[in-house]
Amino acid sequence: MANRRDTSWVGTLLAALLALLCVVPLVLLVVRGAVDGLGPFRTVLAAESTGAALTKSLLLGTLSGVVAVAVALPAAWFSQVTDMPGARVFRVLLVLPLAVPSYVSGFVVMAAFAHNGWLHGLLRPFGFEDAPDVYSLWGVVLALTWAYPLALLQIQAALSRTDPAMWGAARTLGAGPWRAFADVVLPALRAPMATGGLLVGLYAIGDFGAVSLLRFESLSYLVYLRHKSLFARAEVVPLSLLLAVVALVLVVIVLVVGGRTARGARTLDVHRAWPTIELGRWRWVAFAFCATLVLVFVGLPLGVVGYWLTRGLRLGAELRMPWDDAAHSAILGGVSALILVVAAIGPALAHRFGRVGGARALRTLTFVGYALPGIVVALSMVSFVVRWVEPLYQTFGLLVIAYVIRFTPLALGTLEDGLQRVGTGLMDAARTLGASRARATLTVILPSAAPAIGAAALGVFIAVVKELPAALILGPLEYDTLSTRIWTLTEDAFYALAAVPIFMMLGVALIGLIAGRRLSR
Amino acid sequence: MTQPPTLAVDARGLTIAWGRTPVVHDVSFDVRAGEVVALLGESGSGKTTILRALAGLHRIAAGTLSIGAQTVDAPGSRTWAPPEKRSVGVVFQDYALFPHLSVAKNIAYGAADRSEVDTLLGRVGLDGYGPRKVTELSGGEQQRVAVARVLAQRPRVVLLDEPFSNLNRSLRQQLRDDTVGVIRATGAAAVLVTHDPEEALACADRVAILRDGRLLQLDTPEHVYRQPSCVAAAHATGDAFVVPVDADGRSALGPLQTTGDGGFAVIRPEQIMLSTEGNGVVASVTRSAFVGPVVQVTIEIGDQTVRALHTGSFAAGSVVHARVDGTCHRVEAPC
Repeated sequence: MANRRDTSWVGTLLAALLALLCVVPLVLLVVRGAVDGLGPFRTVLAAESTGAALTKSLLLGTLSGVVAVAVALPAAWFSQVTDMPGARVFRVLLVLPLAVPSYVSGFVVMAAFAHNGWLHGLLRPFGFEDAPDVYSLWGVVLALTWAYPLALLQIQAALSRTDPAMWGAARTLGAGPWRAFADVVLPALRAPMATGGLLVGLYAIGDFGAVSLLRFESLSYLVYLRHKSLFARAEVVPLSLLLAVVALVLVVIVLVVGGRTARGARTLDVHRAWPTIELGRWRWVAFAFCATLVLVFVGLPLGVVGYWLTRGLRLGAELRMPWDDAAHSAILGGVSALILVVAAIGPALAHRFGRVGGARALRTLTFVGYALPGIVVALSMVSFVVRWVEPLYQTFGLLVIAYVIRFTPLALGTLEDGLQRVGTGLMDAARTLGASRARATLTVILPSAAPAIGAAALGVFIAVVKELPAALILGPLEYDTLSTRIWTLTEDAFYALAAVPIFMMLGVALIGLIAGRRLSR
Repeated sequence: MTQPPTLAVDARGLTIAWGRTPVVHDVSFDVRAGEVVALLGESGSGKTTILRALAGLHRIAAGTLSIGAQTVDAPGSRTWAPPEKRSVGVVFQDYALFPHLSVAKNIAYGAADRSEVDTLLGRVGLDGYGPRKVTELSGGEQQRVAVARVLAQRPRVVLLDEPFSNLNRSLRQQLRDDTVGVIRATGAAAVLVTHDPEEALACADRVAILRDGRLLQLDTPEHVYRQPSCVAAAHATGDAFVVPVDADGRSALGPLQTTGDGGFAVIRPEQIMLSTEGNGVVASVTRSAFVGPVVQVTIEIGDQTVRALHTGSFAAGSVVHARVDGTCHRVEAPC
């Protein structure tokens, strides 16, 4: 601990600037909205499409959250504490769907389950003429179920914080395994389940990739359509603000529930290993459940992409390696990662080793930034820039600025998490060994924080490479990235051509995810 | 005329606060050159806070703190030296070794003379450990590295923050003796923070007993044990019974030989002699517990319950004769 009476003013200033950066999109929208006056707001509020889109967004968020938790709870329990065959491997495999961006899972749903898709092709010889309509709520919910690891990670973390002695106590007090699970495990998991479900809901409500490909007119797709239309552009700002408000309400609920977890749960500081719970015959049921998840959410994307690739090649399609797109993605990712790590390391160190004034308020601001949907960030910049700084529109610089704003919470969060593993005692030790604060930071703290810095840089890089709406809306003309290329080709139903960039994307995202987990250990 | 020995630490009227809450109140003590002083107390007694203030990791709210001839913290005269400008070294409770550096580089980090690293490794019994990663070492080995790292800076004062509490019991005593021996050999003074009375009494030249941020007593191990300044100080160094005693030495446990002033006498368990017949007051045995070298016998005398140490055990309910051997120190009732 540093001296508690010292507030680091430099650290506080840096942290405040960075936290304020996170809410810039909201400010831009409010400024533009104020200038435009009440007219567009009245139009939006009066339009039938607004209510319909809001309903669809809320329905989508709720269903996605519930489905994700229903999938994640058994998966977390089986892989974390039971003798299910391969439990250890599943702990990694079950998280991998997180690497699949929603426009790719949207692609998979279309290419695998739509009319004339892969499954339809398999079943047609048996007389199935009509495939179910995937351009629907259930199609989008399915595509967004790829986000279930967000809930899984919450539940896994809560399980490892829960005192396993409670399980033993319940069993020795005469409860069978089902009753013990229901009586002592489930209550401890209630808050993380809620948080996990809310995070998935937030992801679903802010999603652009899947809803746009599956033409599901939720708020985030409607606002994009308005942006594209010639006559209704004025509605973009009010609709963006509405979407932002919905997301913020969810964030407030997440913060309240999260706070309750921290206070209410009987959690451990020291990690105590759970005993391996024997499932008996059920272990193969558990195995089948988890294997199915991995097959559907990791195997299926790879399989479907491979299917369309070989089918395209057989029909004589020309294979074009999207090196330019990949280079654009890599440059954007690299530049954003570099800027963000440099900008965030100071505040992150100040939070960990010093005392930052108003730290809790700053954290809340950052979380608000995390919650803002990508499409809202992108459109807020457009609405501001086209009105006041026109030359910046569709430039590389503006896109990087958007990424820095959008992923500041990610960079800061990853760094702070990583720094938690650097003992504050190290700073004290270096100081008493004769090092000044600056030398201690350079020679001890930064080297010890190298994994955290690496994880943050990698996390931002992968996030930028996967990001779609900003690249689509703000990117320079003729400056396609892997993500915009995949989206455009899929939207135009060139599945075979989309296959190669998707392979690249999945390769980068999977390697990034696994490497990131390794760095954070 | 000889010079008085210089003081390694001189603390006058230390008051230390966490935020606005004072946790150490007006504590004064000194540590002479080459001396080992233990700060003994429960958690919350302020002992670690004092250590952090000595190290420069926490500022004092009032008082004066000097290390050697240097005044390092005096809020009154706006004097403050940061940790790196003080001649102190700290062995932290969790050792705080730098995980990205080898054993040798950890020791060299603050070293006055880098060529000494190998010598120091030898002195703490870790010959040839230089290139190893600190994360691969056992707890005892890490502790030795932490000691070597501190000695390499040649500090005037070594501060030890519960450095043995994370170690196995079997390892603890050996390492404790080694560590204190190595530090004494360098001529540095040491301040040992501990909650273990045995550790404090065995290692230190003088023991400071702290409770609730106040210094109760500072004296040699024998004095703090045999002549506690108050009831709380007596309890801090081990099992003790406090019985009322009149001016002529009469008590519920028979006549006592006493020193000091006050209406109560402190009796240690090993002073209570039990026998089946002969002299002494009559007591009934409630329990005998075999604790290894001796048997802990709980007896009742009137409404007093005391524990005595004896070589054999007595059946519960049997009647014994008890008398108090040696001198007891008188204290006032409250502290």
